[in-house]
Amino acid sequence: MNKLYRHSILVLLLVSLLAVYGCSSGNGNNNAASGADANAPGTAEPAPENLASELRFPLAQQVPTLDPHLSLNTNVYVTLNIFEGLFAFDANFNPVPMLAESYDLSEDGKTYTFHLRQGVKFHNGKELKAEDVTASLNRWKSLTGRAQASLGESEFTIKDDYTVELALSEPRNDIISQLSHVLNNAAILPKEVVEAAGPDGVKEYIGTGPFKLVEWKQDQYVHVAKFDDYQSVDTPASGLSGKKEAYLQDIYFDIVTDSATRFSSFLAGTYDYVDVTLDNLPQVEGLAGVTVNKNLGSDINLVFNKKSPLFSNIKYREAVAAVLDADEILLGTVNSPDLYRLNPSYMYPENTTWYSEAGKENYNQKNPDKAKQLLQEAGYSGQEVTLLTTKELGGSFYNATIVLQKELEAIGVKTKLDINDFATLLKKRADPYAWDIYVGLFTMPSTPSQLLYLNPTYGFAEDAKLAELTKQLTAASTPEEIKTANDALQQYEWEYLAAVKIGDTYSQSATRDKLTGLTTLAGYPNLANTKLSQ
Amino acid sequence: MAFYITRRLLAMIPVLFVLSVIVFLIIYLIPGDPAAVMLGDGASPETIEALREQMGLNLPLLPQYLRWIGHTLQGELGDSFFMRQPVRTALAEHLGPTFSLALLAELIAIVIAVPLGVRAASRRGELADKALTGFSLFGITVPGFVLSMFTVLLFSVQLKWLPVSGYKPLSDGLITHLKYLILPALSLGIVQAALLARVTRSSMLEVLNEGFVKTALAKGVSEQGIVYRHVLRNALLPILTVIGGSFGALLAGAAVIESIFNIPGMGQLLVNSVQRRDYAVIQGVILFVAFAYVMVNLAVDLLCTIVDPRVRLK
Amino acid sequence: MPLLEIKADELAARRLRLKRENRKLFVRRFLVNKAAVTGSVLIALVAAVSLFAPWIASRDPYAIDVVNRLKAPSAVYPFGTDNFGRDLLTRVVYGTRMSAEVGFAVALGSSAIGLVIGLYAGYFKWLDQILMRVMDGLFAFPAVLLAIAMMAALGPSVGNLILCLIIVFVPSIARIVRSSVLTAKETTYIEAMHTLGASHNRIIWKHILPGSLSTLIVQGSFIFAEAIIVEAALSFLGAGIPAPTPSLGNLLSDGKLYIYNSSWMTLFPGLALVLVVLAMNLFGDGIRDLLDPHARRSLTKRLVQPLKQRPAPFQAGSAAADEPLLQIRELKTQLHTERGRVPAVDGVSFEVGKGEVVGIVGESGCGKSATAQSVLRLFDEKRLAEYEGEIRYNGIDLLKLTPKQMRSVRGNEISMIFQDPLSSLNPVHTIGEQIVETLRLHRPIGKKEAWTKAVELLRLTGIPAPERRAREYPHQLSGGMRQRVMIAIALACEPQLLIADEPTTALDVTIQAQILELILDLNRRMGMSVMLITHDLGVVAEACSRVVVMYLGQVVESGDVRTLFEKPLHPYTIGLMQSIPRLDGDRSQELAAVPGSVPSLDQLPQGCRFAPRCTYADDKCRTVMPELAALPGGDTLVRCWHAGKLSGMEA
Repeated sequence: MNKLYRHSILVLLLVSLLAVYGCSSGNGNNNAASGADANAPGTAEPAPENLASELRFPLAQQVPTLDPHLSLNTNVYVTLNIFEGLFAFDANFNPVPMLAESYDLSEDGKTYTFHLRQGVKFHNGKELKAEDVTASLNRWKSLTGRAQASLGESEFTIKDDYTVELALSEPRNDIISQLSHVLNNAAILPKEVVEAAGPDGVKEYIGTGPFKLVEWKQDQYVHVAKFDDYQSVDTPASGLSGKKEAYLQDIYFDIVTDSATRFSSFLAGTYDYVDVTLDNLPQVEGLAGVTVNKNLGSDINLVFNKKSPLFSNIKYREAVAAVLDADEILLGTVNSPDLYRLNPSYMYPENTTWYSEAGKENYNQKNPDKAKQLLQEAGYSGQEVTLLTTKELGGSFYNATIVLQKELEAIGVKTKLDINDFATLLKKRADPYAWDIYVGLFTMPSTPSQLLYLNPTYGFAEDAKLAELTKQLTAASTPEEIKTANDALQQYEWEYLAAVKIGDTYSQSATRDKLTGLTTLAGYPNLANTKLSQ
Repeated sequence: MAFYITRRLLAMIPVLFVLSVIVFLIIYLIPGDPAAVMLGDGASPETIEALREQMGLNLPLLPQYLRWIGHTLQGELGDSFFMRQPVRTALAEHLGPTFSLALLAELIAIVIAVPLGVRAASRRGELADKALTGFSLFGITVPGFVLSMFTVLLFSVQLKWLPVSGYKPLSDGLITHLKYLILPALSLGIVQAALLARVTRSSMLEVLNEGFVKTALAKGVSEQGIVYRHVLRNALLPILTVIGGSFGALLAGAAVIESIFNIPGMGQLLVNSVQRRDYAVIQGVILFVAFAYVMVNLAVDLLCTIVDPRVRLK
Repeated sequence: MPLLEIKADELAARRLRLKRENRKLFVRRFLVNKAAVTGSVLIALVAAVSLFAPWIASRDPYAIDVVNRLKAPSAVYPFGTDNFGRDLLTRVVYGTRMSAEVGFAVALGSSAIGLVIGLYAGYFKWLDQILMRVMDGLFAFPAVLLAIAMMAALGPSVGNLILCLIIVFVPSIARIVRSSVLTAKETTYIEAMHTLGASHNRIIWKHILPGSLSTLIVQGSFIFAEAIIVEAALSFLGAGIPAPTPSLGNLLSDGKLYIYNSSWMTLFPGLALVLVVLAMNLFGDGIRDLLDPHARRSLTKRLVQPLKQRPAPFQAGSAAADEPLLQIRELKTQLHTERGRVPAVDGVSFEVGKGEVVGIVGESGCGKSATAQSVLRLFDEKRLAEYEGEIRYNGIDLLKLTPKQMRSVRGNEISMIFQDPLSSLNPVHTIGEQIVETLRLHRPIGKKEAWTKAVELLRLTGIPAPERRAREYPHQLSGGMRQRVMIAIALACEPQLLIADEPTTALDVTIQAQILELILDLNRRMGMSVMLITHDLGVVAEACSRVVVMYLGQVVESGDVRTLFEKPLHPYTIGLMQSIPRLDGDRSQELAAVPGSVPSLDQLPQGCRFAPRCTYADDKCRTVMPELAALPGGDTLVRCWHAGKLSGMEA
């Protein structure tokens, strides 16, 4: 009895162990049927001799969705290689035609006519036609706050197979920018894919870019492969525009959320590109075969909840603007004077069209006495100011907020730090009763009209004059008109204080010299034209 | 025996039920929702609302719970919002890595801890005993991520023997599979070993006081024979229990280690799902973990009956 | 003077003395227990740091000073600064305090709640089912999720974190308390309380609780440490103590991004964490050792003089025909116990001839068991025992053998059986396996053959159906059968000497007779000598040919059994004989007893050790130790100054 019993138990346990292994399919089924996976990965002709065919690229954050019209910032690293829009920015942020061949603007500036390139293929073999453009862009519009603000009720319509029309109710000068900027991702997908999409996104990821999606393992990696039928434009490559040639057969975007792991992997040779923190910098600075690059990154702004009890009153906003020491906040955020710059404008100086210095006397005032005075005038009696922030997204939001907290407390303002995870933060930010001040990093748009915090849904800016000036800005057509309108808007913004600009930050990255052809725009790397030597 | 097993499995049901209610309540209370997370920063409120409708997030509490319970009982755990696959599939895919990791970590722990504990018990007060105390305190206090940092620096960056992070399934070959798992398993295993060594030692010491040890001595059994043939087997019961408990805990996923080493296991799945508010997955993982825990305990109990004939199935 | 005459106040005085002694002993043991002491010192250090934080670290732990960020340790900033320019020493001090507070609150809270749950679950069976199911459910719930969820749902705060961690740790405490309650419930003490009519609550709180307290303290200290570590892990995931409040977990998490160039940000919090966790773990370990009744470690360090191990020429069974099989000469065995060095065997000499059955008699604590174990050198010679004198077996001095040589004596030449057969048999091996082990240790014999022989031996010792029994486990047999098994094991290699240490004491009376008969039968048939240790004079009378009477580690009288019974010489022996109740005795008389009780071995009187209890003792007795000597004209050896004069007294 004993032996039999013993053996049967051991057998039972062994069997269950095997069953567990059998049940678990760690190999995984491929998710995200991409429709274009008739080709096994990398079956195209082998790479030229001394070039590697595969690149592994680390991503610092998860990709919640690959739908280009959703969740804009987080998936751009990947989607800009898969999808394309009608236009793209060059290195100077000038729009250059991409899927469009050219466009016409009517005399009154209200009607855009886009002429599409012919013979452009989607990853599923279908040719790009107007119906795809209108379907995609109308969807894009309905899902993007910025686009809705710009386009209003207008829709894209089909003129003929290769012509699309957009009729606006009033002239706007930011349409082409919006269609270009990677931030907005006005990507073109096939009509059928767009129509089959649900509220949670498209079900297939078909674009026109030089790489096509092969496999997406959520939380692990995104695998794209060279699209052999890619139709490149002929203009020289600049920024995200121009010629795109895929020298790589396969790119794996690995999701590695731990910065130390990313860096160790770079050192170990798994990756040839990595973001570099201040702490890691000395390790790559002298390293042979490695170049350290400094890239302009996000800017930092303080946004007021203009419906909150205190900050609906302009005097309180002015008080905060007065005490603000931008250098201190920026230093606390990036830890090194090399990694930030002061900038009183809501746009970057590199963006010559839209850069303005109007109102800069209100920037970086560092005036605690003035602030205390204003507080007194406003009748401050110790109410608590809630600073909404999160420790996620790399920790920069938190770092900036905590320095601000110190500055506020120094003039006697009672503050409360409200730290949340990202999901809760999103929810609270939409609730006018939940916060007073929010300090965040923002990806710089190409025109002021696209600034999030000027938008009523963000920080609850409801000011008639602001709206009016913004409208004038987008209606301006000549460079002089633009300059006047822009100065006026920025000047007013420095008075109205929907938000307070703090400064611009840089990020650093390290690249191995054997990885060539990598360009970035607004911090996003363009992997077309990239070569990796063996 | 079959009867016993069935009874144990049935006893699990009320536990799972209680858990499911707790989980559901907690999730209901947490602010934030997956729609906003998926659509991101610049999305308009209308878009978010439309998605919420589709996800069924606007239903009141009880109907949501009942709907979920109903599906679960049919084996339908629902679909993950973010992974675009059924929860069942997500669980299955993430089970393998965690299971391998837990198994390897536990093996490492056993291989280190049991001999160390046995030696320390039989040479009480001497070097081996002191070494055990030192080691176990080290293992308990050094945080996992610090340990992993050093091992990665040494083995991956300096020596380039092992990869820094990632995971390759068993189907890619046993050696490859192990290469990716060994560093995280080491970080986990050493901590487990610390605890296990102490339990081994104290269990051995207790048994060493038993009468039959004297009998064995009087029979002329060598010290080695006494320790390994007589004492160890008697000391196994508490050791096995601890192993079972720690293995169960590992199955819940060592979230921190998995995130450092990028292993797509249960821990990572759980943390990501909570951050994204992927409700169906959260619930699925919790239920699964509880189930696994009960099963591991059952296995340990069965093993105990083999080890100690006095223990009977009740 | 009967025992009952001891006065009440004497009793009280004695109890007080005992209490004081025990306390002193406890303190002594505590001070020697390095773990407990070190742990306590460290705990005191941590407590001091926590209490005096504002004085030790005068800066504000929240004060941001970006200009002075990431400064290395210096005179101005002893631990350096972090990336916001905050003084790290201050942060670490306050962080330690915060972590200690959390650890303490969690340990206390979970212990209290777990205690109540465990007590009631262990006590009331119906409650047990419900409570334990819930505990199991909670146990399986991953702490990480619970923390993240609670922090998100209830808001991040220290209080919520403590609450969360308490929930996490309650199940394990409840489990442990519950099992100790289950064990306590079985004791006769508790059953007696029931019978006395004590209420449930009273029983639980007054009688069962104290037993669980010690485990609770130990577990509590471990939970303290673990709570701090869990908090550190949670901080890493962003669900710990909300920033910017310093906690060791937060500090470690902050330091991670600066670990290469500003390693002090990780080093100092890490050291503090190690310190706190170390303190609690050491303390818990120490207390556990202290409270463990088995851990009577010696107070002195390792023995300086382990027995000399000169390989001596050794052959089995080659003594001359007239030489006694076993000769013990001036054997002294010193045991190192917590009370110091105790001479358990103090100059004992006697012999066992071939085929003889010699009885060793005496009260508990007289050293008979120690003598027996010394023959086989069963004591731990590294830590416990020191031997002096000679033990000659077949002419060879056993005390001079190497361990390996000694092993071939044990179970082979000389076998021993013990008092309690249940605890003396290995519960996880079958009967047959245990006999086979002995056989295969000393004989070149195969498994099958050994098994057959084992069955034979079982048959020999009178066990019915031996083939079946051989496959069974000790717990499946009755007490008497187990003792037979022990004997079978002892006989397996046909030893020349069997040492039986109180073989019948733990058995029923009827079984006693059977076992005794078996031993004697084997003695007759196999010519095996027997050293029979007992406190039962009846057994001695029946079985032994010679008797050795021991008292307080010495032989006080030894000789022929008849002579001893008819004419005891030593006052102690006389007393013993007198105290045997007889059927034909005068019932109107009081039952005679030897007055007083045996003093402990660390409080030996000067002179004759029996003097304090002896009716005939005089000054000489009290000051000078008598020698063990034979009276003129007799064979009996006796240790008494007045032996000759007393021989006139009738037994």
